[in-house]
Amino acid sequence: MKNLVLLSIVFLGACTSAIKDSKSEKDEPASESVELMGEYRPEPTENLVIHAKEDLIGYWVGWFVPDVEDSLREYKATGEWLRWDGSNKINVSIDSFIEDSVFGHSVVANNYQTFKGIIKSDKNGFSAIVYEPGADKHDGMFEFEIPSNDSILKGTWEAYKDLKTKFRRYSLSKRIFKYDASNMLSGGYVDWEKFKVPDWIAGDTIDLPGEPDLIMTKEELANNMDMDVSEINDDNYQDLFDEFVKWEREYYSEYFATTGQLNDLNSSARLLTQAEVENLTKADLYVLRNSIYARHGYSFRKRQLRAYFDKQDWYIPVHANIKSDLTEIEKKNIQLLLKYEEHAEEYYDEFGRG
Amino acid sequence: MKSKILNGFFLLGLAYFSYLLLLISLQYIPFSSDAAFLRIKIDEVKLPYYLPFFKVHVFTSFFLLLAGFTQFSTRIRTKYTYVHRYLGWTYIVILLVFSAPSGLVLGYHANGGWTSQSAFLILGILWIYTTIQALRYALKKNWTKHRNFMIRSYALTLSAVSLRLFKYIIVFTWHPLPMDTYRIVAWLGWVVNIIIAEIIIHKKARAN
Repeated sequence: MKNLVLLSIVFLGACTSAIKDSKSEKDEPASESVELMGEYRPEPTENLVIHAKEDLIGYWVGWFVPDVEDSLREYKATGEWLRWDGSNKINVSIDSFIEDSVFGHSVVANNYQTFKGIIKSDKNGFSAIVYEPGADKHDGMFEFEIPSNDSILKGTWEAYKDLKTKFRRYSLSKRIFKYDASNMLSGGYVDWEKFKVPDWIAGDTIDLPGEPDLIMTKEELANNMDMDVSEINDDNYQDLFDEFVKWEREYYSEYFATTGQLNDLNSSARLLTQAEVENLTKADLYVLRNSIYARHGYSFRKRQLRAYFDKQDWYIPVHANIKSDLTEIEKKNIQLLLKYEEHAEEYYDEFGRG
Repeated sequence: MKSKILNGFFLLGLAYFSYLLLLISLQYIPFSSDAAFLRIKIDEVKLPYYLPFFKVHVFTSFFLLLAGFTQFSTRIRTKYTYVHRYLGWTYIVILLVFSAPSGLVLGYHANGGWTSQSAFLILGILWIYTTIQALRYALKKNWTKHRNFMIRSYALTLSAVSLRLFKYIIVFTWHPLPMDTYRIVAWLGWVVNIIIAEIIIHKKARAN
Protein backbone atom coordinates (compact mmCIF):
# COMPACT_ATOMS: atom_id res chain seq x y z
CA MET A 1 0.00 0.00 0.00
CA LYS A 2 2.76 2.38 0.98
CA ASN A 3 4.52 1.61 -2.28
CA LEU A 4 1.35 2.29 -4.18
CA VAL A 5 1.00 5.74 -2.62
CA LEU A 6 4.64 6.47 -3.38
CA LEU A 7 4.25 5.23 -6.92
CA SER A 8 1.20 7.37 -7.52
CA ILE A 9 2.99 10.46 -6.19
CA VAL A 10 5.88 9.79 -8.56
CA PHE A 11 3.39 9.25 -11.37
CA LEU A 12 1.53 12.46 -10.61
CA GLY A 13 4.77 14.36 -10.36
CA ALA A 14 5.67 13.28 -13.86
CA CYS A 15 2.47 14.71 -15.29
CA THR A 16 2.89 18.34 -14.35
CA SER A 17 2.86 19.39 -17.99
CA ALA A 18 -0.86 20.00 -17.57
CA ILE A 19 -0.21 22.83 -15.14
CA LYS A 20 3.29 23.96 -16.04
CA ASP A 21 5.39 24.70 -19.12
CA SER A 22 8.83 23.18 -19.12
CA LYS A 23 11.55 25.67 -18.46
CA SER A 24 13.89 26.46 -21.29
CA GLU A 25 17.42 27.52 -20.67
CA LYS A 26 18.18 31.16 -20.24
CA ASP A 27 20.53 32.77 -22.71
CA GLU A 28 22.40 34.78 -20.15
CA PRO A 29 25.68 36.36 -21.00
CA ALA A 30 28.61 34.44 -19.61
CA SER A 31 28.77 34.32 -15.85
CA GLU A 32 29.74 37.36 -13.87
CA SER A 33 33.10 35.97 -12.89
CA VAL A 34 34.38 35.77 -16.45
CA GLU A 35 37.57 37.74 -16.78
CA LEU A 36 37.88 40.18 -19.60
CA MET A 37 40.56 38.15 -21.27
CA GLY A 38 42.95 40.36 -23.11
CA GLU A 39 40.42 43.16 -23.47
CA TYR A 40 42.06 46.52 -23.57
CA ARG A 41 40.68 49.85 -22.42
CA PRO A 42 42.42 52.83 -23.94
CA GLU A 43 42.90 56.03 -22.01
CA PRO A 44 41.33 58.54 -24.32
CA THR A 45 41.87 62.25 -24.39
CA GLU A 46 38.68 64.16 -23.79
CA ASN A 47 39.07 65.97 -27.09
CA LEU A 48 36.33 64.88 -29.44
CA VAL A 49 37.64 67.07 -32.23
CA ILE A 50 40.96 65.93 -33.64
CA HIS A 51 43.81 68.42 -33.41
CA ALA A 52 46.71 66.09 -32.64
CA LYS A 53 47.47 62.40 -33.11
CA GLU A 54 46.86 61.72 -29.38
CA ASP A 55 43.28 62.89 -29.81
CA LEU A 56 42.65 59.83 -31.96
CA ILE A 57 43.01 57.52 -28.97
CA GLY A 58 39.67 56.28 -27.72
CA TYR A 59 36.42 54.69 -28.90
CA TRP A 60 35.05 55.49 -32.35
CA VAL A 61 31.44 54.44 -32.49
CA GLY A 62 28.85 54.21 -35.22
CA TRP A 63 27.16 51.97 -37.74
CA PHE A 64 29.02 49.20 -39.51
CA VAL A 65 26.99 49.13 -42.71
CA PRO A 66 27.01 46.39 -45.37
CA ASP A 67 28.39 48.00 -48.50
CA VAL A 68 26.11 46.62 -51.15
CA GLU A 69 23.92 48.20 -53.76
CA ASP A 70 20.54 49.13 -52.38
CA SER A 71 18.84 46.70 -54.74
CA LEU A 72 20.84 43.81 -53.28
CA ARG A 73 20.35 44.80 -49.69
CA GLU A 74 18.68 42.20 -47.50
CA TYR A 75 16.29 43.36 -44.85
CA LYS A 76 14.97 41.50 -41.86
CA ALA A 77 11.61 42.50 -40.45
CA THR A 78 11.92 43.71 -36.89
CA GLY A 79 8.27 44.18 -36.20
CA GLU A 80 5.41 45.74 -38.03
CA TRP A 81 7.07 48.97 -39.13
CA LEU A 82 10.74 48.28 -38.50
CA ARG A 83 13.39 46.55 -40.49
CA TRP A 84 17.03 45.74 -39.93
CA ASP A 85 19.44 46.19 -42.85
CA GLY A 86 22.32 44.18 -41.44
CA SER A 87 24.07 47.16 -39.85
CA ASN A 88 25.61 46.69 -36.44
CA LYS A 89 26.94 49.28 -34.04
CA ILE A 90 30.71 49.00 -34.05
CA ASN A 91 33.29 50.34 -31.64
CA VAL A 92 36.67 50.89 -33.30
CA SER A 93 39.08 51.54 -30.47
CA ILE A 94 42.39 53.21 -31.24
CA ASP A 95 44.57 52.14 -28.34
CA SER A 96 48.17 53.29 -28.89
CA PHE A 97 50.86 54.41 -31.32
CA ILE A 98 54.49 53.50 -31.76
CA GLU A 99 55.88 55.90 -34.32
CA ASP A 100 53.92 55.19 -37.52
CA SER A 101 52.32 52.05 -36.16
CA VAL A 102 48.82 52.11 -34.74
CA PHE A 103 47.34 49.47 -32.41
CA GLY A 104 43.73 48.98 -31.54
CA HIS A 105 40.74 46.68 -31.46
CA SER A 106 37.13 46.58 -32.54
CA VAL A 107 34.02 45.31 -30.81
CA VAL A 108 30.97 44.39 -32.83
CA ALA A 109 28.34 41.67 -32.56
CA ASN A 110 30.03 40.03 -29.59
CA ASN A 111 33.29 39.87 -31.50
CA TYR A 112 36.36 41.46 -29.91
CA GLN A 113 39.27 41.62 -32.34
CA THR A 114 42.61 43.39 -32.28
CA PHE A 115 44.21 45.14 -35.23
CA LYS A 116 47.46 46.85 -36.07
CA GLY A 117 48.68 48.87 -39.02
CA ILE A 118 50.25 52.03 -40.27
CA ILE A 119 48.96 55.56 -39.77
CA LYS A 120 50.02 58.52 -41.89
CA SER A 121 49.40 62.19 -41.42
CA ASP A 122 49.49 65.14 -43.74
CA LYS A 123 48.00 68.60 -43.74
CA ASN A 124 44.53 67.20 -44.43
CA GLY A 125 44.51 64.87 -41.47
CA PHE A 126 45.20 61.22 -40.76
CA SER A 127 44.76 58.10 -42.81
CA ALA A 128 45.35 54.52 -41.77
CA ILE A 129 45.24 50.95 -43.01
CA VAL A 130 44.98 48.39 -40.23
CA TYR A 131 44.81 44.60 -40.30
CA GLU A 132 43.10 42.06 -38.10
CA PRO A 133 45.17 38.92 -37.38
CA GLY A 134 43.43 36.69 -39.92
CA ALA A 135 42.89 33.54 -37.89
CA ASP A 136 39.21 34.29 -37.39
CA LYS A 137 36.77 33.93 -40.29
CA HIS A 138 35.44 37.40 -39.59
CA ASP A 139 38.83 39.11 -39.83
CA GLY A 140 39.59 41.70 -42.40
CA MET A 141 41.24 45.07 -42.99
CA PHE A 142 40.09 48.57 -42.18
CA GLU A 143 40.98 51.57 -44.26
CA PHE A 144 39.95 54.93 -42.86
CA GLU A 145 40.76 58.59 -42.57
CA ILE A 146 40.13 61.32 -40.05
CA PRO A 147 40.30 64.86 -41.38
CA SER A 148 42.07 67.18 -38.95
CA ASN A 149 39.92 69.61 -37.01
CA ASP A 150 37.05 67.27 -37.70
CA SER A 151 35.41 64.61 -35.54
CA ILE A 152 34.56 61.84 -37.97
CA LEU A 153 36.42 58.62 -38.69
CA LYS A 154 35.28 57.42 -42.06
CA GLY A 155 36.24 54.40 -44.08
CA THR A 156 35.72 50.89 -45.35
CA TRP A 157 36.34 47.35 -44.24
CA GLU A 158 36.99 44.28 -46.34
CA ALA A 159 36.91 40.70 -45.11
CA TYR A 160 39.84 38.47 -46.06
CA LYS A 161 37.50 35.57 -46.71
CA ASP A 162 34.39 35.46 -48.84
CA LEU A 163 31.83 36.26 -46.18
CA LYS A 164 28.20 36.88 -47.00
CA THR A 165 28.92 40.51 -46.31
CA LYS A 166 32.45 41.01 -47.55
CA PHE A 167 32.47 44.83 -47.65
CA ARG A 168 31.31 47.28 -45.07
CA ARG A 169 31.55 51.03 -44.61
CA TYR A 170 31.32 53.23 -41.57
CA SER A 171 31.36 56.79 -40.38
CA LEU A 172 32.21 56.92 -36.69
CA SER A 173 32.36 59.58 -34.01
CA LYS A 174 34.57 59.58 -30.99
CA ARG A 175 32.71 58.68 -27.82
CA ILE A 176 33.78 58.53 -24.20
CA PHE A 177 32.38 55.41 -22.56
CA LYS A 178 31.24 55.95 -19.02
CA TYR A 179 28.99 53.59 -17.13
CA ASP A 180 25.81 55.47 -16.33
CA ALA A 181 23.12 53.74 -14.30
CA SER A 182 20.55 56.34 -15.27
CA ASN A 183 20.44 55.45 -18.98
CA MET A 184 16.86 54.66 -19.98
CA LEU A 185 15.49 52.51 -22.78
CA SER A 186 13.61 54.03 -25.66
CA GLY A 187 11.39 52.23 -28.09
CA GLY A 188 9.83 48.82 -27.94
CA TYR A 189 11.35 45.43 -28.52
CA VAL A 190 9.66 43.06 -30.94
CA ASP A 191 10.17 39.71 -32.58
CA TRP A 192 11.89 39.67 -35.92
CA GLU A 193 9.26 37.72 -37.67
CA LYS A 194 6.16 36.23 -36.31
CA PHE A 195 6.25 32.62 -37.28
CA LYS A 196 4.68 29.48 -35.96
CA VAL A 197 7.12 27.23 -34.23
CA PRO A 198 7.71 24.31 -36.60
CA ASP A 199 7.21 20.81 -35.28
CA TRP A 200 10.87 20.03 -35.44
CA ILE A 201 11.54 22.82 -32.99
CA ALA A 202 8.61 22.00 -30.77
CA GLY A 203 9.50 18.33 -30.59
CA ASP A 204 12.74 16.44 -30.21
CA THR A 205 15.15 16.25 -33.07
CA ILE A 206 15.17 13.03 -35.06
CA ASP A 207 18.16 10.76 -34.73
CA LEU A 208 19.09 8.95 -37.91
CA PRO A 209 21.67 6.24 -37.32
CA GLY A 210 25.09 7.24 -38.57
CA GLU A 211 24.01 10.71 -39.60
CA PRO A 212 23.94 14.03 -37.88
CA ASP A 213 20.53 15.62 -37.39
CA LEU A 214 20.41 17.24 -40.79
CA ILE A 215 16.95 18.63 -40.58
CA MET A 216 18.16 22.04 -41.58
CA THR A 217 20.70 22.55 -44.29
CA LYS A 218 23.99 24.19 -43.44
CA GLU A 219 23.01 27.18 -45.59
CA GLU A 220 19.78 27.65 -43.68
CA LEU A 221 21.55 27.32 -40.36
CA ALA A 222 24.27 29.76 -41.40
CA ASN A 223 21.63 32.25 -42.45
CA ASN A 224 19.78 31.90 -39.17
CA MET A 225 22.89 32.11 -37.03
CA ASP A 226 24.22 35.13 -38.90
CA MET A 227 27.28 33.15 -39.93
CA ASP A 228 29.00 32.25 -43.13
CA VAL A 229 28.24 28.79 -44.46
CA SER A 230 31.95 27.94 -44.64
CA GLU A 231 32.11 28.31 -40.87
CA ILE A 232 29.77 25.38 -40.37
CA ASN A 233 31.18 21.88 -40.56
CA ASP A 234 30.07 18.45 -39.39
CA ASP A 235 31.83 18.93 -36.06
CA ASN A 236 30.16 22.13 -34.96
CA TYR A 237 26.87 21.67 -36.80
CA GLN A 238 25.10 19.97 -33.92
CA ASP A 239 26.24 22.51 -31.31
CA LEU A 240 25.20 25.43 -33.48
CA PHE A 241 21.94 23.75 -34.36
CA ASP A 242 21.21 23.12 -30.69
CA GLU A 243 22.01 26.74 -29.93
CA PHE A 244 19.69 27.90 -32.68
CA VAL A 245 16.89 25.68 -31.41
CA LYS A 246 17.45 27.01 -27.92
CA TRP A 247 17.16 30.58 -29.13
CA GLU A 248 14.10 29.85 -31.19
CA ARG A 249 12.40 28.06 -28.34
CA GLU A 250 13.05 30.95 -26.04
CA TYR A 251 12.16 33.47 -28.66
CA TYR A 252 9.11 31.98 -30.18
CA SER A 253 6.17 33.20 -28.32
CA GLU A 254 3.22 35.11 -29.67
CA TYR A 255 3.40 37.48 -26.76
CA PHE A 256 7.09 38.23 -27.04
CA ALA A 257 6.75 41.96 -27.30
CA THR A 258 7.48 44.63 -24.78
CA THR A 259 4.96 47.10 -23.40
CA GLY A 260 5.26 50.83 -22.73
CA GLN A 261 6.08 50.04 -19.12
CA LEU A 262 9.60 49.16 -20.26
CA ASN A 263 10.49 52.77 -21.00
CA ASP A 264 9.60 53.96 -17.50
CA LEU A 265 11.72 51.44 -15.64
CA ASN A 266 15.43 51.36 -14.97
CA SER A 267 16.97 48.16 -13.68
CA SER A 268 20.35 49.69 -12.78
CA ALA A 269 19.54 52.89 -10.91
CA ARG A 270 17.55 51.46 -8.02
CA LEU A 271 16.02 48.27 -6.71
CA LEU A 272 12.91 47.27 -8.62
CA THR A 273 9.90 46.38 -6.52
CA GLN A 274 7.62 43.38 -6.95
CA ALA A 275 4.75 45.73 -7.74
CA GLU A 276 6.76 47.22 -10.61
CA VAL A 277 7.65 43.93 -12.25
CA GLU A 278 4.59 41.78 -11.59
CA ASN A 279 2.60 43.15 -14.52
CA LEU A 280 5.44 43.03 -17.05
CA THR A 281 5.46 40.68 -20.02
CA LYS A 282 8.19 38.13 -20.38
CA ALA A 283 9.77 40.32 -23.06
CA ASP A 284 9.74 43.37 -20.74
CA LEU A 285 11.49 41.35 -18.05
CA TYR A 286 13.96 39.93 -20.50
CA VAL A 287 14.92 43.28 -22.03
CA LEU A 288 15.11 44.98 -18.63
CA ARG A 289 17.53 42.32 -17.44
CA ASN A 290 19.67 42.60 -20.56
CA SER A 291 19.67 46.41 -20.33
CA ILE A 292 21.87 46.00 -17.25
CA TYR A 293 24.51 44.28 -19.37
CA ALA A 294 24.03 46.88 -22.11
CA ARG A 295 24.79 49.76 -19.73
CA HIS A 296 28.09 48.08 -18.93
CA GLY A 297 28.90 47.92 -22.63
CA TYR A 298 28.23 44.24 -23.30
CA SER A 299 28.25 43.47 -27.03
CA PHE A 300 25.33 41.16 -27.78
CA ARG A 301 25.64 38.08 -29.91
CA LYS A 302 21.91 37.51 -30.20
CA ARG A 303 20.76 39.48 -33.20
CA GLN A 304 17.42 40.60 -31.80
CA LEU A 305 18.96 42.04 -28.66
CA ARG A 306 21.80 43.59 -30.61
CA ALA A 307 19.50 45.42 -33.00
CA TYR A 308 17.48 46.74 -30.08
CA PHE A 309 20.35 48.00 -27.95
CA ASP A 310 22.32 49.29 -30.94
CA LYS A 311 19.47 51.75 -31.44
CA GLN A 312 19.87 53.21 -27.94
CA ASP A 313 21.87 56.42 -28.30
CA TRP A 314 23.83 55.89 -25.12
CA TYR A 315 24.80 52.33 -25.96
CA ILE A 316 28.41 51.56 -26.87
CA PRO A 317 29.61 47.97 -27.37
CA VAL A 318 32.77 47.68 -25.30
CA HIS A 319 33.09 44.09 -24.08
CA ALA A 320 32.49 40.69 -25.59
CA ASN A 321 32.27 39.28 -22.07
CA ILE A 322 30.07 40.53 -19.32
CA LYS A 323 31.88 42.70 -16.85
CA SER A 324 32.30 41.47 -13.31
CA ASP A 325 31.58 44.83 -11.75
CA LEU A 326 27.80 44.78 -11.75
CA THR A 327 26.51 46.84 -8.85
CA GLU A 328 24.75 45.24 -5.88
CA ILE A 329 21.51 46.86 -7.07
CA GLU A 330 21.94 45.27 -10.49
CA LYS A 331 22.74 41.84 -9.09
CA LYS A 332 19.59 41.94 -6.98
CA ASN A 333 17.48 43.19 -9.88
CA ILE A 334 18.81 40.41 -12.10
CA GLN A 335 17.76 37.87 -9.48
CA LEU A 336 14.29 39.38 -9.23
CA LEU A 337 13.81 39.65 -13.00
CA LEU A 338 15.00 36.08 -13.54
CA LYS A 339 12.48 34.80 -11.00
CA TYR A 340 9.65 36.54 -12.81
CA GLU A 341 10.95 35.46 -16.21
CA GLU A 342 10.97 31.85 -15.10
CA HIS A 343 7.54 32.22 -13.59
CA ALA A 344 6.16 33.79 -16.77
CA GLU A 345 7.75 31.07 -18.84
CA GLU A 346 6.35 28.24 -16.77
CA TYR A 347 2.95 29.49 -15.70
CA TYR A 348 1.68 32.40 -17.79
CA ASP A 349 -0.51 30.38 -20.15
CA GLU A 350 -1.19 27.34 -18.00
CA PHE A 351 -4.05 26.23 -15.79
CA GLY A 352 -3.09 27.79 -12.50
CA ARG A 353 -3.11 30.90 -10.46
CA GLY A 354 -0.30 33.29 -11.35
CA MET B 1 -32.39 11.29 -17.14
CA LYS B 2 -31.16 14.58 -18.52
CA SER B 3 -30.07 15.75 -15.10
CA LYS B 4 -28.28 12.44 -14.58
CA ILE B 5 -26.15 12.98 -17.67
CA LEU B 6 -25.48 16.57 -16.60
CA ASN B 7 -24.53 15.30 -13.17
CA GLY B 8 -22.20 12.75 -14.73
CA PHE B 9 -20.46 15.43 -16.73
CA PHE B 10 -20.12 17.60 -13.67
CA LEU B 11 -18.53 14.79 -11.68
CA LEU B 12 -16.19 13.94 -14.55
CA GLY B 13 -15.08 17.55 -14.84
CA LEU B 14 -14.74 17.80 -11.10
CA ALA B 15 -12.55 14.69 -11.08
CA TYR B 16 -10.29 16.10 -13.78
CA PHE B 17 -9.88 19.51 -12.19
CA SER B 18 -9.41 18.00 -8.75
CA TYR B 19 -6.59 16.02 -10.28
CA LEU B 20 -5.03 19.22 -11.71
CA LEU B 21 -5.34 20.94 -8.36
CA LEU B 22 -3.70 17.96 -6.73
CA LEU B 23 -0.81 18.39 -9.16
CA ILE B 24 -0.59 22.06 -8.25
CA SER B 25 -0.48 21.21 -4.54
CA LEU B 26 2.10 18.50 -5.10
CA GLN B 27 4.51 21.01 -6.60
CA TYR B 28 5.19 22.06 -3.03
CA ILE B 29 6.26 18.56 -1.98
CA PRO B 30 9.05 18.40 -0.92
CA PHE B 31 8.38 21.86 0.38
CA SER B 32 10.35 24.69 -1.14
CA SER B 33 9.68 28.39 -0.72
CA ASP B 34 11.09 28.87 -4.23
CA ALA B 35 8.54 26.66 -6.00
CA ALA B 36 5.79 27.77 -8.35
CA PHE B 37 3.60 30.54 -6.91
CA LEU B 38 5.93 31.13 -3.96
CA ARG B 39 8.77 32.13 -6.26
CA ILE B 40 7.11 35.48 -6.84
CA LYS B 41 6.12 35.97 -3.19
CA ILE B 42 9.63 37.08 -2.32
CA ASP B 43 8.78 39.51 0.47
CA GLU B 44 5.90 37.54 1.89
CA VAL B 45 7.81 34.30 2.43
CA LYS B 46 10.07 36.22 4.79
CA LEU B 47 7.14 36.89 7.14
CA PRO B 48 7.18 34.34 9.98
CA TYR B 49 3.51 33.41 9.62
CA TYR B 50 3.08 33.41 5.82
CA LEU B 51 4.50 30.00 4.97
CA PRO B 52 2.70 28.13 7.79
CA PHE B 53 -0.63 29.59 6.66
CA PHE B 54 0.27 28.89 3.03
CA LYS B 55 0.98 25.22 3.81
CA VAL B 56 -2.23 24.85 5.78
CA HIS B 57 -4.23 26.36 2.92
CA VAL B 58 -2.61 24.37 0.12
CA PHE B 59 -2.64 21.02 1.87
CA THR B 60 -6.15 21.20 3.38
CA SER B 61 -8.23 23.00 0.74
CA PHE B 62 -7.86 20.22 -1.78
CA PHE B 63 -9.96 17.87 0.38
CA LEU B 64 -12.87 20.31 0.36
CA LEU B 65 -13.29 19.80 -3.38
CA LEU B 66 -13.92 16.10 -2.81
CA ALA B 67 -17.15 16.91 -0.95
CA GLY B 68 -18.71 17.51 -4.37
CA PHE B 69 -18.54 13.78 -5.12
CA THR B 70 -20.70 12.70 -2.21
CA GLN B 71 -22.56 15.50 -0.46
CA PHE B 72 -25.01 16.45 -3.19
CA SER B 73 -26.02 12.85 -3.86
CA THR B 74 -29.60 12.15 -2.78
CA ARG B 75 -28.83 8.45 -2.55
CA ILE B 76 -26.01 8.86 -0.09
CA ARG B 77 -27.94 11.47 1.88
CA THR B 78 -31.01 9.31 2.31
CA LYS B 79 -29.64 5.77 2.40
CA TYR B 80 -26.33 6.36 4.12
CA THR B 81 -27.15 9.33 6.28
CA TYR B 82 -24.18 8.72 8.55
CA VAL B 83 -21.78 9.04 5.57
CA HIS B 84 -23.33 12.36 4.60
CA ARG B 85 -23.18 13.59 8.18
CA TYR B 86 -19.62 12.39 8.80
CA LEU B 87 -18.24 13.89 5.56
CA GLY B 88 -20.26 17.05 6.11
CA TRP B 89 -18.67 17.59 9.50
CA THR B 90 -15.25 16.97 7.97
CA TYR B 91 -15.95 19.59 5.30
CA ILE B 92 -17.11 22.14 7.85
CA VAL B 93 -14.24 21.60 10.27
CA ILE B 94 -11.53 21.68 7.57
CA LEU B 95 -13.06 24.78 6.02
CA LEU B 96 -13.75 26.78 9.17
CA VAL B 97 -10.64 25.79 11.13
CA PHE B 98 -8.00 25.51 8.42
CA SER B 99 -8.75 26.52 4.84
CA ALA B 100 -10.77 29.71 5.26
CA PRO B 101 -8.77 31.43 8.04
CA SER B 102 -5.51 30.68 6.22
CA GLY B 103 -7.14 31.82 2.99
CA LEU B 104 -7.93 35.19 4.59
CA VAL B 105 -4.28 35.62 5.56
CA LEU B 106 -3.13 34.78 2.02
CA GLY B 107 -5.84 37.03 0.58
CA TYR B 108 -4.60 39.92 2.68
CA HIS B 109 -1.15 39.43 1.11
CA ALA B 110 -2.44 38.80 -2.43
CA ASN B 111 -0.45 40.06 -5.41
CA GLY B 112 -1.99 42.83 -7.44
CA GLY B 113 -2.89 45.39 -4.77
CA TRP B 114 -6.27 46.22 -3.28
CA THR B 115 -8.23 45.06 -6.35
CA SER B 116 -7.30 41.46 -5.84
CA GLN B 117 -6.86 41.70 -2.07
CA SER B 118 -10.46 42.85 -1.60
CA ALA B 119 -11.71 40.13 -3.95
CA PHE B 120 -10.02 37.39 -1.94
CA LEU B 121 -10.98 38.85 1.43
CA ILE B 122 -14.65 39.10 0.48
CA LEU B 123 -14.47 35.57 -0.92
CA GLY B 124 -13.02 34.34 2.39
CA ILE B 125 -15.64 36.10 4.51
CA LEU B 126 -18.51 34.82 2.34
CA TRP B 127 -17.03 31.35 2.45
CA ILE B 128 -17.05 31.35 6.26
CA TYR B 129 -20.50 32.97 6.45
CA THR B 130 -22.24 30.57 4.06
CA THR B 131 -20.65 27.55 5.75
CA ILE B 132 -21.67 28.65 9.24
CA GLN B 133 -25.22 29.33 8.03
CA ALA B 134 -25.34 25.90 6.40
CA LEU B 135 -24.24 24.31 9.68
CA ARG B 136 -26.76 26.32 11.71
CA TYR B 137 -29.66 25.27 9.48
CA ALA B 138 -28.53 21.65 9.58
CA LEU B 139 -28.55 21.72 13.36
CA LYS B 140 -32.05 23.27 13.20
CA LYS B 141 -32.98 20.54 10.71
CA ASN B 142 -34.09 23.16 8.18
CA TRP B 143 -32.89 21.08 5.26
CA THR B 144 -33.89 23.41 2.44
CA LYS B 145 -31.92 26.30 3.84
CA HIS B 146 -29.10 23.97 4.79
CA ARG B 147 -28.95 22.77 1.20
CA ASN B 148 -29.07 26.31 -0.22
CA PHE B 149 -26.21 27.54 1.91
CA MET B 150 -24.18 24.45 1.18
CA ILE B 151 -24.65 25.05 -2.54
CA ARG B 152 -23.30 28.58 -1.98
CA SER B 153 -20.43 27.38 0.19
CA TYR B 154 -19.39 24.75 -2.31
CA ALA B 155 -19.72 27.21 -5.20
CA LEU B 156 -17.16 29.35 -3.40
CA THR B 157 -14.97 26.28 -2.80
CA LEU B 158 -15.09 25.65 -6.54
CA SER B 159 -13.56 29.09 -7.15
CA ALA B 160 -10.26 27.25 -6.72
CA VAL B 161 -11.03 25.62 -10.05
CA SER B 162 -12.92 28.40 -11.81
CA LEU B 163 -10.33 31.08 -11.04
CA ARG B 164 -7.65 29.00 -12.73
CA LEU B 165 -9.92 28.02 -15.57
CA PHE B 166 -10.85 31.65 -16.24
CA LYS B 167 -7.20 32.56 -16.17
CA TYR B 168 -6.42 29.91 -18.75
CA ILE B 169 -9.25 31.02 -21.03
CA ILE B 170 -8.52 34.74 -20.70
CA VAL B 171 -4.80 34.32 -21.41
CA PHE B 172 -5.54 31.97 -24.30
CA THR B 173 -7.97 34.44 -25.84
CA TRP B 174 -6.57 37.92 -25.16
CA HIS B 175 -3.00 37.53 -23.82
CA PRO B 176 -3.41 40.34 -21.29
CA LEU B 177 -0.65 41.38 -18.92
CA PRO B 178 -0.08 38.86 -16.14
CA MET B 179 -1.18 40.96 -13.18
CA ASP B 180 -4.17 42.44 -14.99
CA THR B 181 -5.29 38.87 -15.63
CA TYR B 182 -4.85 38.06 -11.99
CA ARG B 183 -6.95 41.02 -10.84
CA ILE B 184 -9.73 40.04 -13.23
CA VAL B 185 -9.88 36.40 -12.22
CA ALA B 186 -9.64 37.25 -8.52
CA TRP B 187 -13.19 38.61 -8.94
CA LEU B 188 -14.55 36.48 -11.79
CA GLY B 189 -13.38 33.29 -10.10
CA TRP B 190 -16.02 33.43 -7.40
CA VAL B 191 -18.61 36.01 -8.54
CA VAL B 192 -19.60 33.86 -11.52
CA ASN B 193 -19.84 30.83 -9.26
CA ILE B 194 -22.09 32.53 -6.74
CA ILE B 195 -24.38 33.74 -9.53
CA ILE B 196 -24.66 30.18 -10.86
CA ALA B 197 -25.34 28.97 -7.31
CA GLU B 198 -28.20 31.46 -6.93
CA ILE B 199 -29.67 30.34 -10.25
CA ILE B 200 -29.55 26.71 -9.12
CA ILE B 201 -31.16 27.60 -5.79
CA HIS B 202 -33.84 29.62 -7.55
CA LYS B 203 -34.65 26.76 -9.93
CA LYS B 204 -34.85 24.26 -7.10
CA ALA B 205 -37.22 26.55 -5.21
CA ARG B 206 -39.48 26.84 -8.24
CA ALA B 207 -39.40 23.09 -8.86
CA ASN B 208 -40.86 22.53 -5.41
